Amino acid sequence: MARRKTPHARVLLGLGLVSLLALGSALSFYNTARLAMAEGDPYRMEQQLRRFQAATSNLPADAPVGYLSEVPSTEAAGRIRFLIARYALAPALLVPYDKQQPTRFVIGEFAHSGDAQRFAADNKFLPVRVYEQGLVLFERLEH
Amino acid sequence: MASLCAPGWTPRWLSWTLYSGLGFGFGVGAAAILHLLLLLATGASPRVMFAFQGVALSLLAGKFFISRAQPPAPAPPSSRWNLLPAMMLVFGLLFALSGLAASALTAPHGGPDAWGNWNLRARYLAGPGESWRHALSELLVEASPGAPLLFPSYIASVWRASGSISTTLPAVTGEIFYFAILLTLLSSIAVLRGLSHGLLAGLLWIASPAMLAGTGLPEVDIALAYYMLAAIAAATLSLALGHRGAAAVAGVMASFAAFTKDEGMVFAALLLAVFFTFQTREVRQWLWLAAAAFPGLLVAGCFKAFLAPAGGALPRLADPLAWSRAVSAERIEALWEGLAGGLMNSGQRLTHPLLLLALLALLLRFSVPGQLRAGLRFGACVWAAQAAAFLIACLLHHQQGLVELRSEAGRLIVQLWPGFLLLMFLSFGKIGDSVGE
Repeated sequence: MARRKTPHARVLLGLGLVSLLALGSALSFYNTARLAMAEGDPYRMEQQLRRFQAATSNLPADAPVGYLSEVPSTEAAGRIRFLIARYALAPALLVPYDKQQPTRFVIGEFAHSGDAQRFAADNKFLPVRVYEQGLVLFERLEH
Repeated sequence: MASLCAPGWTPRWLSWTLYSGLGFGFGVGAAAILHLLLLLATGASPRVMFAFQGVALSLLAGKFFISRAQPPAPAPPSSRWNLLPAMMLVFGLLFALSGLAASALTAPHGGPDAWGNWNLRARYLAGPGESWRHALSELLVEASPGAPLLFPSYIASVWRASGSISTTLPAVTGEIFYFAILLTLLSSIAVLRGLSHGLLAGLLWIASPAMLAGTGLPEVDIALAYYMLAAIAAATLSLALGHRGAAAVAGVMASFAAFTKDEGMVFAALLLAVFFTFQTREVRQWLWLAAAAFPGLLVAGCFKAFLAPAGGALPRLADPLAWSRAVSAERIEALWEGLAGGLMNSGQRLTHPLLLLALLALLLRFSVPGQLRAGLRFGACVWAAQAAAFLIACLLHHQQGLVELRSEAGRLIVQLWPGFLLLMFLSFGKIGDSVGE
């Protein structure tokens, strides 16, 4: 016949303490998350998605689309800009613009409209759509 | 499937926590694989996906009524000192889930690894026409087009069935995986060691939410942690109780781990190999595990062989250059720093989960019943081998810089923490130890 040993008071006190500390840990995590909420998303992804929204319907879903911006993709800031644009424009497959193997469509981010015109003239592209905040869609003239 | 593992424990809610914990993971894995197969065969129209979700819900409802008719099995040993941890668990869970929800609302698209890779691939899979093939494109620079697709495929299947792209779905799915880990951990430990241990393990799990959300890792790491925990827990149940059904559940969960991430493939191979060494006399149980793992492993293997572009961690093992560069003091130091830093940052001073675990070890000591020894040795072997394989794979990835190497260590902690908690609580002594049997 099994007889249950009453746990030592020290053990019960310890278990109570562990339970309270665990609750404290969960509470502290909740407070940290609430504070982070005030700062918001560091990548401001919702705004980025809204910015690219208009372009999504004009891009082909079955072929790669080139991407270029003033910040080269070799730099960390340029790389992040490219990755954000790629996510926002999915299901279009965005690839960094390659002069040697240009895609039919290219989407560019420019701070100055003159830069977009210069790119189009130098690389035989036609700007087919100009969206807000320096976003331009180009189509290759010969294909 | 999950009911194979627990044939109606009493109290009845214990059966339901185990059913729900394992059933959720099974449902996600099955839906993800089916969605990918339908994409390959028919293009997975929203109508087909909606019909599939309907069938799955009907089966779940059917299972609910069948299990209500089953007589309950003997109760696991329990203690009457459970009220305090149970109450703390409920309150703590509310705080943890609210914190995770706040994180999801702050950044609904997740961190760069989530939107730059996993959620991006889910968007491709849910896209029109043949755009789902972009998820496997070699042109997907700075993403992992060769990585398995369970998580993105599940997200895409829900998006297709609902007909709209909900940005919070990946984060919500991650939270449900977090909750499923709690249910699986609590109920499997309660079945094997009693309710007190299960509740305390649950408390330790909710005491470490920073391990998940604080690291900024994508939800797929939580999913992998869940599948690895479920496989080890079911295999341990099988070894301890002689359950063939539990062995089958372990096989299925290991195969889903293999289709979640590359690390999961290594885990599935390790689990099969280690289980075989522990089952040399009773091979039938291993055959159940292997047979149940076979369909999922076949899909994962075919995916790697025929769909995914070449690359990944496995080919690096055969590269002598990788081995020579791996053994550099600088890289080993960076990995160590990442591990130590990840562990230190996973909690705060007095409430750090490692400190709480140490306190419990002091209070309860270690005492493993004979029936559990084989299962515990098995779990420890798989866990340690998986940790070693992960660290070697990190070192061999010589294209990664030291910063990336440090962050990889954080990933290891998240993936292995639930399994570590399971093994620790199975080896702790009992609270009100019974004597004079």
